[in-house]
Amino acid sequence: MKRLYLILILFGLSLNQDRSVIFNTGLPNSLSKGYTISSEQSVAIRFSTTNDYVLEAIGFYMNLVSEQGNLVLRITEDNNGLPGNIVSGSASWHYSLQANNELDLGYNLIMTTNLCIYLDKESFYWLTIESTDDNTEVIWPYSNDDTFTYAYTTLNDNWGWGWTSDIGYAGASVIFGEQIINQPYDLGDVNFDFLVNVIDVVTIVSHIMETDILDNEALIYADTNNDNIINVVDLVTMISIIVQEKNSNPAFTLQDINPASEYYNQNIGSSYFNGQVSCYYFGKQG
Amino acid sequence: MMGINGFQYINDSIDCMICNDECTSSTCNSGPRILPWAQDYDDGINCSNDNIGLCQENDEAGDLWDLWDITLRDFIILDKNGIEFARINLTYNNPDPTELGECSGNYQKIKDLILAARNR
Repeated sequence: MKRLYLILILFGLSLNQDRSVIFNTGLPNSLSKGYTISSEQSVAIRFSTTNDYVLEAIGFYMNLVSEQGNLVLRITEDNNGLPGNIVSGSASWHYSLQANNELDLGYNLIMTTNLCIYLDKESFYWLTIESTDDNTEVIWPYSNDDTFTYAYTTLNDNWGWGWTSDIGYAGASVIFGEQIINQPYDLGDVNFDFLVNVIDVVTIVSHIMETDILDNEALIYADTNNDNIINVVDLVTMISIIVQEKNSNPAFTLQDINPASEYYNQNIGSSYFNGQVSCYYFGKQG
Repeated sequence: MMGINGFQYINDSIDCMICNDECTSSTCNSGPRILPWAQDYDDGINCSNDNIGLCQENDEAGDLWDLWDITLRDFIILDKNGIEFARINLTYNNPDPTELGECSGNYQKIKDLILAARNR
């Protein structure tokens, strides 16, 4: 039993430290206590996102009670606090459980790499699990914590209907995602090229003159003084943004210690590369 | 483009960062690695002249990481005037196109940012 707890702790630490964890209930206390999933009941848990993600993997603990366990998992949107529509056509997986053993702790992992399933920033989603046949009976072990939103339905053939939600234990699981770079645009950057320049000014003038109307997203960035009106005042603000002198990062030089580099043994840095676009990676060797 | 090792990692193995044809580190297996690699120090050299008061020597934090307010795995793009154009933390924004295909688009987005920096 001590060995089991050690594995549980190490496994939990490795999950907690993973940079791509979107949601993690932690490890189950027991594999025998949890939500029953069978032809008579499906269960779902809700999770939220803080950034834009691509779904990377779904990990879940499951205790097989029947001889075989055939499940279907889905990632769905949130529909007023209940599981809603599936997020994309590829966000559904048929999964056959293998008999549990002590080493894998009933842990299952579905990799979703390359399916390009996108999860939007600051949104709620659901992981739903149902059985696919009458012979399946499994237990989705409870999480340690009972502060999660979960839902269940006893109407397996009425997918999307009949869900009841509550606060309590989640089915133990972890969801991984790869964060999508979301470099913010500056106010005034109406053509989204990361620059505020005369091209943006001309574009806004065209909008004011009603010769070329901006779309809704561009309108947000055109309203540089945040008064919900696009007019000459925004142009004046933009011009002050363009002519405003920006502070450069403090200059530095350090010696290149890579013998394979063309700058080997030279003192290089931001002052050395002045006049060129330059990039710097701050890492940990090893 | 250059990499700067954190002062706190000064004693870690450098094998993977400057390897030649064959890397010996367990985390990489191909070479050569040709990008410049430098070590940040806490000696105060970069805290002098125009940078006086912006960082301190012998404070157990590397000077450059201090000066630029760095978090591990920050990737920073400067425009040709030395002005910061973008800062992306690669711990949370994996740019490797082989891991998630092109789903995240992160690799292309970084390329686009570098190209956009040319025009500022």
